[in-house]
Amino acid sequence: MLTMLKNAILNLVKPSATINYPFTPIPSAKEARGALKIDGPLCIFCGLCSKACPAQAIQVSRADKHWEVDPYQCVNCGACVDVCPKKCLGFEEKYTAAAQKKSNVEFNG
Amino acid sequence: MKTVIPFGPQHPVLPEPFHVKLHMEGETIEGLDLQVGYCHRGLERIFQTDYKKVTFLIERICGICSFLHTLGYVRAVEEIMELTVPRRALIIRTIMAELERIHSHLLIIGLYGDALGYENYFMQSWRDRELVMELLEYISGNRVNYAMNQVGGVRRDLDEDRVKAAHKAIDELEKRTGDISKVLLNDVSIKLRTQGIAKLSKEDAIALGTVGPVARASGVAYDVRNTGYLIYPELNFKPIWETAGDNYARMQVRIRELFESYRMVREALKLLETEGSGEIMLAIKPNQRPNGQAFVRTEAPRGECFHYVKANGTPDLERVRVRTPTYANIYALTKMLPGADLADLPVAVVTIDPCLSCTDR
Amino acid sequence: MSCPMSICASAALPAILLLLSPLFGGLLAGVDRKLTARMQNRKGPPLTQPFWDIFKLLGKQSMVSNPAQILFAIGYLGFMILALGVFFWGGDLLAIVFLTTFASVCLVLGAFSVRSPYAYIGGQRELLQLASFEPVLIAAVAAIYLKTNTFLVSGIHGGLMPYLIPSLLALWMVLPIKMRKSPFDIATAHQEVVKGPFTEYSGAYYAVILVGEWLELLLVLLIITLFVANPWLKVLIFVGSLVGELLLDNACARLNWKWLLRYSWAIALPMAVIGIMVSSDVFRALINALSAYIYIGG
Ligand code: SF4
Ligand code: SF4
Repeated sequence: MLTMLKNAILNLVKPSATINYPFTPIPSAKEARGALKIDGPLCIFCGLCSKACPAQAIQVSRADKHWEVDPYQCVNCGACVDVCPKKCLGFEEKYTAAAQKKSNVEFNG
Repeated sequence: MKTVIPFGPQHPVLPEPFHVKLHMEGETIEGLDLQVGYCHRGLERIFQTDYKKVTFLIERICGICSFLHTLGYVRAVEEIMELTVPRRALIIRTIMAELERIHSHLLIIGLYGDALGYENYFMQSWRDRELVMELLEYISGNRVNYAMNQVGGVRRDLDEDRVKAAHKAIDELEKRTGDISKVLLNDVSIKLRTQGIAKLSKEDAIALGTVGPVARASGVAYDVRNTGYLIYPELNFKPIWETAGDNYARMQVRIRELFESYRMVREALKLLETEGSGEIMLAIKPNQRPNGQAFVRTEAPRGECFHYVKANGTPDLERVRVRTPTYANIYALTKMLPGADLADLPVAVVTIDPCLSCTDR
Repeated sequence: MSCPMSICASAALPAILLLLSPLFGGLLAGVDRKLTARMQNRKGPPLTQPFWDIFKLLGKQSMVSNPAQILFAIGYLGFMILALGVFFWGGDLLAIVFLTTFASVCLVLGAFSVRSPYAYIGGQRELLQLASFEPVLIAAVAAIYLKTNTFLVSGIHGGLMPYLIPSLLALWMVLPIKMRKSPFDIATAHQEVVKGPFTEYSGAYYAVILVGEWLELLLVLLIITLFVANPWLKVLIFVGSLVGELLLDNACARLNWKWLLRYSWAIALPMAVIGIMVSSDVFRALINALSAYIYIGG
């Protein structure tokens, strides 16, 4: 009991461990897998990423030159990044923010 | 006066849904019926797909022991494919597995405080847990569901900066866990509420097939890490056990395991430093496919976890079966609780450390 | 905080105080939450959070499982307002005690009027808490009466110290029970009985209950301020009781109902009885006689 009493009193003067989210952004680690991003012009619409994706989050259409990812279905595993022959996929360190409407990230070549 | 109280599936103390039907006599529990299965997602059916994708899917079984599930799974597949995983990958896997144990134990130690109505202690434990979460994020890229394992090795190496960060975090964690353990082991109000309550005898622990900290607190020194997978034999791993078998002992085992984990992570990190960089992932040719079956046992934070994989020479697996520690442990509640107070139920439930999303899959 | 005794002559001020009391109570609840958060090394909600909670609850659907519940919720708040009114007008302390008891009984009846097992057990536990808290409160009031020869709040002039220290100690001991904080928050132990007697309230009716809780907290702390005379000391004892209580809340686990009874009846109640004894004239006469005897004998 006394340990915790001391702890509670000390905590009163310490800066708080929590932050005022979302007004203060969360720092994310270096090379964190935050959100999938595509460097569009490099993409050749081969569809390998779509095949490797365990969550079936990527849709690629070679005919329409269309690449699309559902960020809310993506599980940030990075399997697509590993297989992309053009190395045009990557991750942003910042996590996807909460949104009121779900929308896909699209790229048309 | 006899009453029946439905405890769960939705209840503030339960992080996950399961149902306990309590037969009460006033405030005393006379008996209970357990029901699980509210969290069934049909994952084992989804696993009948490309064996490389399954590694990422299988960690979705549970957010707390996600690395452990991939570990069990890739070990099984590697056994089928007869792969020899590079040594550096093994060391990194050991570090990840232990870090995950640390994060899981700190989580449940905090929830234990919450179940006891000890809010401050709960918050301190979770604040400290943030250190290991940040470390895991730095090492693997994700806070949970690390996507670290793949058949043949690990996907990210620990560079010098990361090893340094890990050393620093472990030192800080050890200091803070010392403070927490002082409260957990010595606080009068906690002792009053937990010592001698919800006892599980050694006989019952063995008869019910309990595993992990629940069994070890009842005097069964059973830990799968003893069977010598990964690099545990090199780290001189010794199982930690107590004999009292009550709520207090179960948490005592966990907090002592934390210190053991800190020691092992440190030694493994030193191994990484001394042995220098090397391969972390075997190259697997596209025509190399699993054919056959295997099962492995892995020690999850909650106890022994069992993975069975059957493959038939195509990339798609035929069957993946998981038997989780909670499935073995949760039934022990029916032996522990009769005679205890209603107020002891949440505490006993927490000391089992139930993980229902694993159990139901 | 103003001193209620000095202004009891004017009729307008008590009315204003009573009107403002929900505001005070809400801020008090806000301070409670902020301080608790800071003690746990959290940032905590803004001070106005309790009011936002009320606004949000008012906008929610109010499910009623039994119409009697509404009556009891309003009864709880109503009795609390009455008790606070009596206090501000300098009325009878005994009446205040009984009004707060009625309020708590309303809570219990509200809990018993629905068929939820959590509310039911919560109601039983609330009764237990009542049985542990009320005797001590009544004994403290009796001690005040013996000291001042009046039950009227307005009749208490000057401090009640030092004879009433045991009564004050006893009140402090049972404060966690009334404030529903660790180690004796058993009625609303959310890990065990969800929200105890409040489980079946929702929306606007829960908002009513919450306001009642603020007023209860305010009233209990105000009664404690009666023990000292100096306005500064009053503020000090008011804030001190709150902070001390929160510190205790953050430094121990919840005990169960057996410990509640043992503690309140074996420790707090005897302390309150000692409080009665030391404040009675008989006792003082006895002490005087004894000291005279020793003096003469020596
Ligand atoms: S990161 Fe994983 S889940 Fe997300 S799109 Fe790529 S492969 Fe699919
Ligand atoms: S694998 Fe790379 S190049 Fe091919 S479609 Fe995907 S993003 Fe484009």
